[in-house]
Amino acid sequence: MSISSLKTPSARLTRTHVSRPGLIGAALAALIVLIAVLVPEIGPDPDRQQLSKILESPGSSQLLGTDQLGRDQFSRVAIGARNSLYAVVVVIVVSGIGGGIVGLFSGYRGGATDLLLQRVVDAVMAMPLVVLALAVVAAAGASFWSVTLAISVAFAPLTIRVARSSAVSLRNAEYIAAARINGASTTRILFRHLVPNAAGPWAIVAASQAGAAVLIEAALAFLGVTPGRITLGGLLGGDAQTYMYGASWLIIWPGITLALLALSVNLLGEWIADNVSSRPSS
Amino acid sequence: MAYLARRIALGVLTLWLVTLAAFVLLRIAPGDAVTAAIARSPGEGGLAAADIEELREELGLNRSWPVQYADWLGDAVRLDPGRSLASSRSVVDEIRPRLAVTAELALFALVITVLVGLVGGLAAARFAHSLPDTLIRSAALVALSMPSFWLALVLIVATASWTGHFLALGYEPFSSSPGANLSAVLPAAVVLSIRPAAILLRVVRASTLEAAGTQYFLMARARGLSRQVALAKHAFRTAMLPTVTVVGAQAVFMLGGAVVIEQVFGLPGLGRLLVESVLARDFPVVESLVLLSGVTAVLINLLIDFAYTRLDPRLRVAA
Repeated sequence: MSISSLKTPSARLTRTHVSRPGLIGAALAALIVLIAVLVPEIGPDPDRQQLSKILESPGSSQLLGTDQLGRDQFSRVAIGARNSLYAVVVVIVVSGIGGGIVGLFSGYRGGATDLLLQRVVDAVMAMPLVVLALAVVAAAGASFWSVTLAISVAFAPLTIRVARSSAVSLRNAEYIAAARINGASTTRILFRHLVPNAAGPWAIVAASQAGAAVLIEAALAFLGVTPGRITLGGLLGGDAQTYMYGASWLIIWPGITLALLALSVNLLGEWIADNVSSRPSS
Repeated sequence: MAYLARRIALGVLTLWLVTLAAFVLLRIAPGDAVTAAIARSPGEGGLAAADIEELREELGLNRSWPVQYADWLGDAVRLDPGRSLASSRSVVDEIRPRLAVTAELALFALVITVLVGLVGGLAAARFAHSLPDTLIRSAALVALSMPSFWLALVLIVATASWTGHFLALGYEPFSSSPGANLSAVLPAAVVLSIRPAAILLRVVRASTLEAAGTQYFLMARARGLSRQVALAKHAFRTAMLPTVTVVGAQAVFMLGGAVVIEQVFGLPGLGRLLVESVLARDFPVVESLVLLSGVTAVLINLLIDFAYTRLDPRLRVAA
């Protein structure tokens, strides 16, 4: 058995205990995912206008009422939740996983690559997130995907920073040196040794970003920079601003869904953080 | 002082990178100010290719990037960032009246954040692991999950339907009508401070409890100080370090948060200007605003570093 295939002293998520906040978060998330997946498939078409049924309050025929064009609000909230979930997944993949790997590489490599990358990170981190995201949107054009990408780009520096500091402290660990002497490539060291051992703090940051990403995506959509797509934030902005005084359900349900989604993601994040920090340090 | 000098040098470097980022960001995108201007006014007759080229030359967009950047940076340093494409007024004239609105909003929000965060966090630490602590922490977590602009909408609709009074009814300068000014800005400031206050509260609680677990705290208790006095005299100062960091980070956050809150409350601040300019692809204004918030953020971070050296004597000598 080669040295590099030995189990590394683990900081990975091994033993987990199920806490009450964790359970509540998981149950909420499951419910929202279920609604987001099922309702647009089996419910009324979210874009179908029924001008005979405009601005109907929530009742038996329309569970959450209808909007100013007679469109079913429940279907629209569900499809909005689906789009919010897409955004979270993209942010976790790009900022969480992508940023983490870039940070580990930067910290492990060191030298000029690291220096240059960290100064770029400094500059990006110096800017307010929403301003940065709006600047990306101004450059790339207003759309759902450019907004989602903008949020990922704005979030990535923090993940890079955290993963990098883990890599810097692990760089000189004996098992890394052993792997290197054994002839392991940088890629192998990165994925086989650094990724699992740096996973703890990295997971905490990524999880806390996911909750914030839900809200920031919604805020930007509310400002009207995601045209052509139904989003929870978009449902709160635009025409709802005109009709909300008489038809409060137009803003109540998208908002509650949004808050519950963010709460469930935050609760899951706290649960991850508890499990990471309660383990004996490596 | 060596520490501070290094931080200032680093701040200047970051500032320069921010200018570079603001410049590059808006130039890697397809299309430029001219195509954006054409797209903004459809139906006014097509411009001939020659006209487009002439316009590009007039705006200097046909030169190489480094030349454009040097020129742009020179203008920015002289505080002459050019004219808005949308209104053709000078960008400085566009920004100046709106700066006061955002500054007032952010200042009020920051004061509320610090008050609520400090008092709430210390109270939670004082009653750690008992009912008041649980209540305060739950409230903070719920506040963190609330979209602040949605809370603002609910607040506006609720007060409108219950009292018949509209919260978002435009803005009056403080000098012309202090009462109308405050009733327009204060609700927005309260909503803007909810998320930062919740974050600060959690940090104050955690770092106070951490300080309360140290030997010197135990020593203070052993000398007979009550838990309350020991917390106030010994744990508080240590807890101030992370607190200052978070206050600074939240001050930067507010520059962004104000964008959304201003939109909801109809306040004519920098945030609304930014959104309008982004949607109109008014590049000179967007660039100037990105630069302005970058500069403000770097200055805030420098202030934090300065506060560090005041709070932590070790930093005054250590390199």
